[in-house]
Amino acid sequence: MPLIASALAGAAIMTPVLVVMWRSFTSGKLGFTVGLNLTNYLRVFGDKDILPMLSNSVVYAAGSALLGTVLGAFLAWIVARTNTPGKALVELLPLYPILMPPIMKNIAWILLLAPRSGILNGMLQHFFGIETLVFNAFTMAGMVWVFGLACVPLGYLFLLPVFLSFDPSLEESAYIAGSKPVNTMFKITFPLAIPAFTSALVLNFLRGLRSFETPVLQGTPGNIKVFVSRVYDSMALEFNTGLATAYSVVLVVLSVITLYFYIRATRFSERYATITGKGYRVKVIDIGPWKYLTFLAVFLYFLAGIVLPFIVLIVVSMIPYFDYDTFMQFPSNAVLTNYYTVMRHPSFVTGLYNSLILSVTIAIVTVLAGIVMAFTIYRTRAAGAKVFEFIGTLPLAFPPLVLSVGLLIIFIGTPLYNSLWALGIGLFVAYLPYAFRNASGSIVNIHKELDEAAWVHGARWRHVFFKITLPILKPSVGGALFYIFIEAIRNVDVAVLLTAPGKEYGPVTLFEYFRVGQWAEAAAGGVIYLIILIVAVSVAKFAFKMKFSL
Amino acid sequence: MAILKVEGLSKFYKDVKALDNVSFEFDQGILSFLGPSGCGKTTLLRSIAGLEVPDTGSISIADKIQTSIERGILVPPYSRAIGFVFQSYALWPHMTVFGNVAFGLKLRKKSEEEIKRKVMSTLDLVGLQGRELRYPSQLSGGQQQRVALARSLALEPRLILLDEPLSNLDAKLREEMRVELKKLIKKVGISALYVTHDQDEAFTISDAVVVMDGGKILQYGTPDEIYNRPLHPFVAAFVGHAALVDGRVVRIEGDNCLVNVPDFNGADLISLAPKVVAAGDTCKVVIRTTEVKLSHDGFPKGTDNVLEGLMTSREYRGGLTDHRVQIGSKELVVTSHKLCPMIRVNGDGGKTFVSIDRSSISVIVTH
Amino acid sequence: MLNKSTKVIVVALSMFFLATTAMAAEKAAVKEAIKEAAKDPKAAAQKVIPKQVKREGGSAAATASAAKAFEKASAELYPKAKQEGNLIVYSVWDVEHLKVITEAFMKRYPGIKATYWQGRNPEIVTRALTEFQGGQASFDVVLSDNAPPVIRAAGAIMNYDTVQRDVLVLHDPTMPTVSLQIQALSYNTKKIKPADLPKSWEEVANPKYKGMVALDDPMRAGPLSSMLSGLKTQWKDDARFNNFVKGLKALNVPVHKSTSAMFRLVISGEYSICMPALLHDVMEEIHKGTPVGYVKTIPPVLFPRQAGIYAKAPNPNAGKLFAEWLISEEGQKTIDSVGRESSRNDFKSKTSIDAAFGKGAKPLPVTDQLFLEDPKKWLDTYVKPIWEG
Repeated sequence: MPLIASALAGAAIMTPVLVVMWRSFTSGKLGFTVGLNLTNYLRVFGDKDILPMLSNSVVYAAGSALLGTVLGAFLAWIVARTNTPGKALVELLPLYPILMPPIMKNIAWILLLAPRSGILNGMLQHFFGIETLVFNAFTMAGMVWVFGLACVPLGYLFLLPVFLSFDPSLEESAYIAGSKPVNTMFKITFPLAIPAFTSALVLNFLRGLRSFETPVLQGTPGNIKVFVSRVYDSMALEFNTGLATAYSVVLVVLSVITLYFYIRATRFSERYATITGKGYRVKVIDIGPWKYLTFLAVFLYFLAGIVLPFIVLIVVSMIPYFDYDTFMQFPSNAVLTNYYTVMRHPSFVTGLYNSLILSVTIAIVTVLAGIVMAFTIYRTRAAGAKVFEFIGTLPLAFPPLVLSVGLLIIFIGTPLYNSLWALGIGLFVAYLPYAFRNASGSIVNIHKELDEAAWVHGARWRHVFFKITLPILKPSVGGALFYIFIEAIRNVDVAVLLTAPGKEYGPVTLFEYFRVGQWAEAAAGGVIYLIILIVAVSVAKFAFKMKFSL
Repeated sequence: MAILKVEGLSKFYKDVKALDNVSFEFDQGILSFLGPSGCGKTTLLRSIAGLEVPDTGSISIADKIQTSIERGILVPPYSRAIGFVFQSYALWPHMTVFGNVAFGLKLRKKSEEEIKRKVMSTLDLVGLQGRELRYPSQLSGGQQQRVALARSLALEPRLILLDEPLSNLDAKLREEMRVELKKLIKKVGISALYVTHDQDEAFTISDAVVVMDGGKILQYGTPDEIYNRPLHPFVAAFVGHAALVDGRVVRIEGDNCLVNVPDFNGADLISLAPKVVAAGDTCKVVIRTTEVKLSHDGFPKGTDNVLEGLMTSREYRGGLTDHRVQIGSKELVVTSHKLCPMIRVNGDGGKTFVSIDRSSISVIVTH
Repeated sequence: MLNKSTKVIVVALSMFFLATTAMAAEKAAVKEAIKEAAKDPKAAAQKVIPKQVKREGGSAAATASAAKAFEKASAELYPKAKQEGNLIVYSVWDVEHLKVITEAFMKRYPGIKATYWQGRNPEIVTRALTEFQGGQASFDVVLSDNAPPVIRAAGAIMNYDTVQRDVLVLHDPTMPTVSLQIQALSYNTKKIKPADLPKSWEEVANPKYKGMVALDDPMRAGPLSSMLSGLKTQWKDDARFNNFVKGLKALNVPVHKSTSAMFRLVISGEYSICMPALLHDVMEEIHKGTPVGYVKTIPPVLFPRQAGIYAKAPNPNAGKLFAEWLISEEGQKTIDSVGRESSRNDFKSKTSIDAAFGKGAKPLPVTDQLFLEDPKKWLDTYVKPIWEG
């Protein structure tokens, strides 16, 4: 029964959430938990500073989610539906930026955009004599730009399968009605992609709301305070999980509101069936001379998404220290010391190996569970299944540290504690929202009759699921696997509390350099990590013709 | 033994009644459900397949209860052993023709050899031999339609449900497939429920027709009965070319009855009497406009129901011509198979006589 | 096939079941903690927290006696520790450093298997105290700066006074101080001339440094707030303290939540003065030839890095042995080899106070008990009204 499976997955998610929620009704800090009361909530709702912080958070999260998701959707449309020249390249270019972890993008862009020491302002002054400080990383715009770039992959990976399996008769009928290609794109193609688009948007918005690195690195110096810092202060300054959770509840409320809009927008799910049972071939649209512009768009994103920050990282990893002059002297001043340091790092190899296996497993399990859950909501008659829309997304409303406290409490005293299982379950809880939102957004694109045809021809739910839904969802499953694998392999936030002493879990050590602020070593580690991934993806793509949702 | 028995089926979508206490029995052959979109015919079909759960009522297939809300029985669709051909074909895009047709057989754990034999013979039957390795996207609309049919037939169901299976085909292909479909179903010898909104299709293909509107069954009969003896004004209006006028029964004369029609300048029309009728009943008078005769000079004495009117305009429609004739306060659109030479002489605006045979008139008592 | 209501019940029940199990476990853990506390009222209430004492100087005699005391303690603890067989360390230090340190320890004391877990301070506190509440004998030593006092305040530290106390710069009789966090006023040598530099911490608040200074966020448990607490203790002058904080605020410069990111931005020339930087970072960069310097005449702020023994340590002797060894000559050399500061007043290295700031330097120790154990309360009381007011 898909319902039982979903209920189990839901329970796995809800348990740590309920545990921390229960904590939020107790007063006192870690080590002193006593009493059941509303102290924490009184403090949260009596906090007069949270409104401006919330409004900053919403501007920042909504801004970057919109920027990233729209850009991602646009790229997906270009790749899937247009006759943009250089098809093989155009398909490949948007994949690479996904490989670069957001924290690396953060640091590279700070180096590029810092007002006085930033490379871009330096170049403007150096080559064009412009003295005005044009770029400033420490502004809301800077934050939205950097995190927005980190939001593109989800938009791209969620929308690509929709555009790739689009029944062209839906568009053709618009052409016949006299609509031109661009008009059709806005009036027909994009509206039909609303479920997947909104799904990615909701995810990116919640990621933005709880994201911490960008606000800390760029917001604090710009005196832009975001809400999530209250949650972190509760943990880091007061060591009060209950209070942190009570603050997180505000984020939960926000995500419930966001999800409500998502559910409303997709409530007539039949409307969005772009994969129909009428045999059809996906058609590429001739967009005329615009195709050079779309190529340029893909290329510019490739530049901003990975090339530019990657170049910065490469240079930073090889120069003795970073300032504008030293940067510009490259490569005459290049040294490889940082690479020796990183390669000598005790757990660079073993950690990477451990996390490789775990990440693959987690990606497969979460993606399957996510689809089962979406299947339960949209394909079975289970009453109240819509509640999974909330449950499946809920963990994203909690900052990782809060969530992992819940997991910690659950596992303590059980044989699972300090085992790989606990870490696995933790990552499952952390990544299910991504898998689920992806599945929820794409399952409504499959015409219901494809399932029903299987039902009436003797298929049980498991047959429908494994033989119909899953194979048809293959492109989006591929994308989700790819994304979750890439994310899980570099997870630090959730993994850290659940890692057993003496067990090395790759990213904790690999990204430790970023955490401790040794940017040069971090850059070197990042460069090695990225080169491995880029080679792997390119080989997979060309040699094995593997399709990452392509 | 009835292959299908439906009792008291109702289904509400919020305030809309999709099915309103629908009951009928069906034995064998092809039964069509005819009605405008939204009349509940598809909901009925899906309820029979188990894809919808009605709010009340019961459904039995071959005397076995499949759905009974009152008794809490709901046999899942996969256990009902029926075939279903969807309007959109619902072919699985990731499977070949062979894969699509073999799907149900594989689930029934048949041997590989048997599956292959069965798939091939079914594809043979629908005329798709040699295409088993194609994907649905490589087939024409008509071929896809046959695959959808083969997919159901391969499982040798007792009953096959077809939901507007031809609506996606072009007019010519549709007419061909109609005949072919009927032959095929008869050849296989199974019973079929056929949902359509096209009365020509319904009449061509089926042994019996159910006309539905607003979730209710209005009439269940042979195509001839439905066409010539509509029991409901809606049926008359929906089926074929008919004009409806209000009337009042004047008297009954044996098998015939005389009806006064105020719209036709108070003319009295003679028609075959319905089963239950009494003088003084208000009624709807249904005139089959394709059966109406036109004449410039008038008709011999003793011709049924001769009326006088004015020709207002004509529309030539290929083999057919619509003649608009104003009779009293009513405009009658008479469809004839050829242009009437007398009328051609006189042109529009000329005086025209109309004759309606009593067999072309039905009287539906409305009280 | 199940009907609707049964399905709903199945879902509800399975979730309820899992949630209640977890909550029951949580409740039981809390009950146990309360019971434990009842047994030892001192653990629940504030323990008698000893003041940190700053020790000056260091003589050859003290060094010799400390070495002797260590040998004795080592001989006593090692057999017991060997029997325990394991040592688990929770630490904020870099994995690279922990690896070097534990390997050296295992080499010195064969038969003890040392493992570590690395996390940030909030993560360490969260994990340690959650395990403490859950009654877990999960680790032996917490090796960090901000975390140990907080864990101690929750009653989760077993008091242990080191036998080598006489050679320590900062001594705390409940937790051995094995290293120091030393803050210095660092600057970009390309951006500011030595003559223009502030002469004291207080002078950083001079309006002429507007737009040049990068400030650590004083409202977090970070270097600047610990410096403030140290200054407040030393000055014993509320008006002066308030003026200083007001002056810093009046600079209206960007604040940073990441000390290291701020230091990188000073190197990059975004800012000229780093308020403050950590000495070992500065030393490492100077060693690499990076154009940074620090003001030697400004007294360094000292924050203890301690090795606290966990109250429920499964291997307490191994933990104590580890703490003693870290303070011993060999341990300090290992700590120095990874670039971390020594906690001894007789240890020669480039990050020692004498070497970096000269013999006469008067370091500023952070000893305020409230700040160490409940930084939030301290900040709310002394800094927040001025900083956010």
